[in-house]
Amino acid sequence: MRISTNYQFSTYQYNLQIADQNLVNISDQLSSGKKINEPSDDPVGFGQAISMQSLQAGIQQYVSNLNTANGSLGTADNTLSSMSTQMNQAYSLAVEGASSTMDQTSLNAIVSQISQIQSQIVNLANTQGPDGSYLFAGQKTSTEPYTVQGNTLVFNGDTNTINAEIGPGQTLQSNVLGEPMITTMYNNLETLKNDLSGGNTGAISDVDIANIQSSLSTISATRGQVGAKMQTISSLTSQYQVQSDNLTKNISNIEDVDMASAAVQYQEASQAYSAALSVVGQGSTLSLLDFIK
Amino acid sequence: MPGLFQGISTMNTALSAFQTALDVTGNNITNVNTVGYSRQVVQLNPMPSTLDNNHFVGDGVNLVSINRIQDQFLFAQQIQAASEDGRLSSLTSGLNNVQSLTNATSGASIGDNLTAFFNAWSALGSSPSDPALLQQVQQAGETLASSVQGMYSGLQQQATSTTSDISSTIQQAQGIVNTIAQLNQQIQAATVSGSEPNELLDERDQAVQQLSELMPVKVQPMQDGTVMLFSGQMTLVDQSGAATIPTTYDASTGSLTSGNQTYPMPSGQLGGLFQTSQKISSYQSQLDTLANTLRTQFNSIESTGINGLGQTGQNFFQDVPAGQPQTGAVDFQVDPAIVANPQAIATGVSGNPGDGGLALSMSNLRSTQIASLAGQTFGDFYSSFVSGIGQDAATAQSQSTTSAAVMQQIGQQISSVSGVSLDQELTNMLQYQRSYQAAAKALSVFDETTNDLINIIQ
Repeated sequence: MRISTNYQFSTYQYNLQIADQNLVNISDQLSSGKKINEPSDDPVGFGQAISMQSLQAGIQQYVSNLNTANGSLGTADNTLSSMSTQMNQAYSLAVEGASSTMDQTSLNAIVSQISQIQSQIVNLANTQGPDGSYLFAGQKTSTEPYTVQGNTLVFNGDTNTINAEIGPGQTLQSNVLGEPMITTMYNNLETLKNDLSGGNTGAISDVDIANIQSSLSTISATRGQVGAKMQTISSLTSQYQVQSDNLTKNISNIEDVDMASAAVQYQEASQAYSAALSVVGQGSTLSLLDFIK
Repeated sequence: MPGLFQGISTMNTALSAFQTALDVTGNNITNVNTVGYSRQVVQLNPMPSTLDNNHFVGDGVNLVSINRIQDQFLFAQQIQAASEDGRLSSLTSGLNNVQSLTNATSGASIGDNLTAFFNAWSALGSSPSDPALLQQVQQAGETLASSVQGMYSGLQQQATSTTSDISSTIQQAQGIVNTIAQLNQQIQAATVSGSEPNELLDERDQAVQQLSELMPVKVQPMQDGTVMLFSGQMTLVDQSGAATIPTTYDASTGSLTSGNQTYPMPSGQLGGLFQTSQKISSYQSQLDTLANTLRTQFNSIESTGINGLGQTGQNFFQDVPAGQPQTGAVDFQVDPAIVANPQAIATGVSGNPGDGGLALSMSNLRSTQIASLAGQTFGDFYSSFVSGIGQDAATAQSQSTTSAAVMQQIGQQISSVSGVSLDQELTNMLQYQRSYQAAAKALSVFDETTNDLINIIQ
């Protein structure tokens, strides 16, 4: 094949350019740590990576929703536990009142203690979460759910649930419905008070104590449900953590450069480039001109 | 019997031929770097012999012509490859620009904003009356809408600049066509007068090659040295001169149009620009689909609720009344009432502050397969949209790399045939120089012989 001077130099130029481009490409990957810097670098991988990233961001939101639900369920559980303490106290007082040795003055003293317990329970039933919403008001979270009118407790809330999204199409009830438990509890204490004032010790031991016991077991059943939910939350959270970690790993596999092999490729590209440079340097010095006197 | 000065006149033909050959060599060396220059060689023939005492003796050398060395077959390949290369390089640069509009790796892409928007609804679901979360939904909605609208308007700008590139390319092509027609005339005049217009031929080849980068070109050489040029069914140059290239076109079919004639431009930069413009409108229509589907899906849920201001029927994204054609991505935005006050966002149908049912339904759209998105979820639709753009760009890039390599290869073959080799020219130079010296020496011998003869007469 005939080699023209232009052929010789344009070949040098073309080869230099390719060697240079390879070197720049691999340096880009090494310095950014990513093999996908634009969608066209790997369209399929890129599509997978963005799907996984959005899945991961969604999971992070579910985890955040779980944390919020955990917070309000935790507050509700604490409140229920305090109610239970109050009711235990009421139980002791009722047992005391049921004994026939008490005189009416002592019974009246118990009545005022029960009244205090009642107002404590109303306070607890009106507990607000960190954002000021009422925990036991159903969906009417901005209305104080319990008010006392005369001797009756009035419920101003509703019995609708508040749900948190904890997965695609999956929700978890994050509020605790206090009705009819709280009203029943209040009314039981009201009856107890009446029986104490009337010195009706028989009714106390026959009916009131049993009612208080039944309220206590309702509270503890509700707390059991809350505890089960909190357990679900904790296991889902750690499950999501694992999923999210796996996604991070998979995204990294698609997007990130394998540093070891990139470093080797860089070595190769850089050698190819320097070889191309030295060919240009030496090839172009050869000319017939050097031999013509 | 030949005359006394026969030898001298024979040597004269040699001196003049070798002088011209040296000039041609010098001219080749001068043009070693000239783009499109074809090396020239002298064609030497022996002079017819004359009868000398029963013997025929040659009368010297005749420089018949100065030819340029060129391969028509390679040239035809080159202009075809140039058209393909022109198409791919303009398509690649167009698609690369589009690709950078996706903001794909910046963390601020439509996809990222879509995820953030769903997350905001998801968070709002369990605390529907939290003002901070309402504001978050409002802002995530605005960011999403503005990124969809922003990409659309970026594509629009790209389309506008493609349109102006198409016009200037047609103009440029017309200029080259005019030049070729002029060169045709000059070449014809020179050929008729019997000379070899090598430089003009090189110049015309260059012009044809430049034209072939802009549009597909077919060359038909004529007897008188002129060429006719065609692009598909359209005549560009014929014996009557340059034709006028239509400046009207239909980008969607990739054709120039004149009256009811259409001339498809499948290659050349013009072809690449038409294809870029087709791609851009397909991307724009996908964004329209995305925007309209977001409107329909979110509004149909949102408008059933009662918002914090006690209103019902409020849209989340601004939309035309039902039954009218939706407006697409160009004016995609959150409804002004919600922009003005996040309390206008409805989270439930009951109006209770704790009712987050609708917020959860909207968050649930994240994983809903939607018919108008070809049965995909919003996220999948976006992901296939962007990887489609990436795929288009990657295909164009790799084809463009191949076509550049093909161009390089053909260029080298042409260079191998037509290019000047300094070593060869220097060798030729030495050869002609020595030949000239020998002829001059012979001339001086003839001179002495003649001199001797004349001296005898004295």
